[in-house]
Amino acid sequence: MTRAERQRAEEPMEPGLDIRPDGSAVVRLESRLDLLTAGDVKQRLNQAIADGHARLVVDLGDVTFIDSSGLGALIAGLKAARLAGGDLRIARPNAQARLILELTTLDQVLHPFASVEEALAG
Amino acid sequence: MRRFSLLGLRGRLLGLVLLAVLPAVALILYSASDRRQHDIEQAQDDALRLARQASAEFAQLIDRTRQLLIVLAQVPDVRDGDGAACSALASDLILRFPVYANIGGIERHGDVFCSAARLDGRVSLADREYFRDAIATRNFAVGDVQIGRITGRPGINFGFPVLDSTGNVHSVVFASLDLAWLWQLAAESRLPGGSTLTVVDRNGRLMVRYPDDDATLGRSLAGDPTVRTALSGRQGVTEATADDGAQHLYAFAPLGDATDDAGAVVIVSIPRSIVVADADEALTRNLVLLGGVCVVALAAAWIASDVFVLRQVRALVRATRRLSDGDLSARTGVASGRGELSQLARAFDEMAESLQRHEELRRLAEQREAELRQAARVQAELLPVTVPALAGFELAARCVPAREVGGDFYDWQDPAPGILVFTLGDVMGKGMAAALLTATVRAALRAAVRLSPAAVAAPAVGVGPGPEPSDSGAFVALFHAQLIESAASAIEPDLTRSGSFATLFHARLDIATHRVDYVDAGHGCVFVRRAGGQVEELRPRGLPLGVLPDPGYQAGSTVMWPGDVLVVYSDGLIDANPELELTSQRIGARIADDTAAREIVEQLIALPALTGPPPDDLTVLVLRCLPEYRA
Repeated sequence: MTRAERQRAEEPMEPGLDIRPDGSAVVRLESRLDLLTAGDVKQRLNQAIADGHARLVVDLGDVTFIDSSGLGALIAGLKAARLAGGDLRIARPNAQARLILELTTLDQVLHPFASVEEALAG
Repeated sequence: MRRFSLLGLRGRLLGLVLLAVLPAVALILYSASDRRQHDIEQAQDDALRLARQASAEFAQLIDRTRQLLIVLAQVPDVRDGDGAACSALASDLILRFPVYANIGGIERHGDVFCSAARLDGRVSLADREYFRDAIATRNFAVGDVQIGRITGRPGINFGFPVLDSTGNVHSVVFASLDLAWLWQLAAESRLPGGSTLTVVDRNGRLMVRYPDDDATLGRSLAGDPTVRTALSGRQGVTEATADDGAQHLYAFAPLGDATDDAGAVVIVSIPRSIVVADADEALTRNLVLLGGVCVVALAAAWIASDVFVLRQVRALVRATRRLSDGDLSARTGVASGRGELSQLARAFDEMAESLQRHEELRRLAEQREAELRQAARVQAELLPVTVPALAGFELAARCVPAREVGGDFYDWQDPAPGILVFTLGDVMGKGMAAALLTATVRAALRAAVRLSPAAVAAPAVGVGPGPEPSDSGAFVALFHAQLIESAASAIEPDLTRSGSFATLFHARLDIATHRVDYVDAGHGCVFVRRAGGQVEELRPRGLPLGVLPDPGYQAGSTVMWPGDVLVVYSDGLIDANPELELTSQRIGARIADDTAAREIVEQLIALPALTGPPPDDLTVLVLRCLPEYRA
């Protein structure tokens, strides 16, 4: 058992956090990703990165709405992940999220994947 | 010191103390009454016992007298009627039995022939009842209580017949019982002072009175109701008012028994006042004692009420008054302790504390609000006030923050004649945090514009609307892209540190050529509506500011023809109307030809009003090429 694995085993399972065998973390978000929830999301992403999971996939499948603050949280997560030598990818954004990503051209840095597995592979 | 009031707390407490004493008063009164009753009954018992004792002793004396007389009747000297010898014997007997006043003999016809007491001449006792009874019954006879004819003293005479050999009554021997023994009996009984022992005969005449013997013996007391009661009954007790007006207890019993009735009664009287004196004295003593206790208790209650109750209550009242006068720092200062009053004081102090805290929070909130209003004014003043004169163009814009301040802004400048530079920016988020970064982005842009060769490049002269020679256009576009790039690089660290980013649409209008060079930094909410209704989105677009340190912007350009409208808006317009699913195409479709720029702005701003206040900052900027313009 590696140290990371041991650490994972000891850690209480955080809801919406899925650690993959290769150390990637899938963070599943839900409902609205806006000014009210952005701070919390940012903290969750930073925590995952601090715990050694610099390769992150954010599952937006259950997110109904994203505003600019929500995008800011994802961008901040992306920067932190890249700084830690990893990456942040997003999976399953809905139409509204795709539109705002496309409008802001952030889809260039946050490429939306159709599924979590594709995001992990890509 | 406050005025004492019966209705005040202290008055009530003292009242309570008095109330607590009341049962003790009742108890004392009850016990005194009980003791009086007991003492009276005791005294009556004593009196009755004495009366009965007198009666019983008298019965014994009768018995002894009978035996004495029976023996005396057998003595030869008596039988023979020898007066001298008989008198000597009688005198001897009296010495031996001092209870008798006289002993002697009476001849058949009534003359006394023998007497222990000295006789003054001839004395006849023929009329005495006991004498006649003894002869008639030939047996022992008891006379009434009467004043002795020989002795002159009250006594009772007994007679016994002396028979001769033939069995006829020859004479009668008699003994006169002195009632002085009753005195001795009374004296030994230790009756309380003022008590009397009285003997009256069957007719109510006074025969004996202890202790005042000198009372007129023989005086009739038949009128006295008590005497009448005593004469009519066998024995008993009663209570009545005596001649002196004082209440007395009486006990009475007949003297003698049923067979030997002396026809007299013994009456023992005890003054009631003496009997109940002890009980009354105890009552007085107890009441005085209780009064003393009461005074001490009241004094203690007076002092204790001050220490334990009034001090706290007054402190509470004082603090409440101060609080109601608006002094929120008022505290009782008596909140320590566990009693109810301390709890009340503590609750009051906590309430005052909470009020004070709320007041401070309210003041703080007011202050913040004032600061925010001030910030809003400053932010509003950072927006351009006047629209520059533009030949053939009109420009309008409006910014509606979701809160007092916001993350949206627009700006325009005319850095050189014939050149208009305008911007619409949207910093992520809203409120004060976004507003601070907005000012930074705006300042950075302004500085960049001032320094950019693109901004100050002279407008093309003598050319009408239409594409410029390619080298000039490429020049402007290059420098324009560099302008945004440098501004973006300048503020990228600030945005990254604060975890924020900003989208921006920045354009440069050459009034002479109608050419618009622009850079879209992740904004996207911009289109040109051509006269007639065709909507063109503007490309290329780059990343927002704050995402990458060197985004590598590229400029785009278009030409505004008469009737064309360029609309830039913030995503607040889309977010505020999710049900409209607004896109540039749909917004463009809402705009009619020949609508003034100002009017278009108002129309678009008014859209969110359909669904309430804007949830996000909302900004619209419109540049319109006037349709009547002719070069």
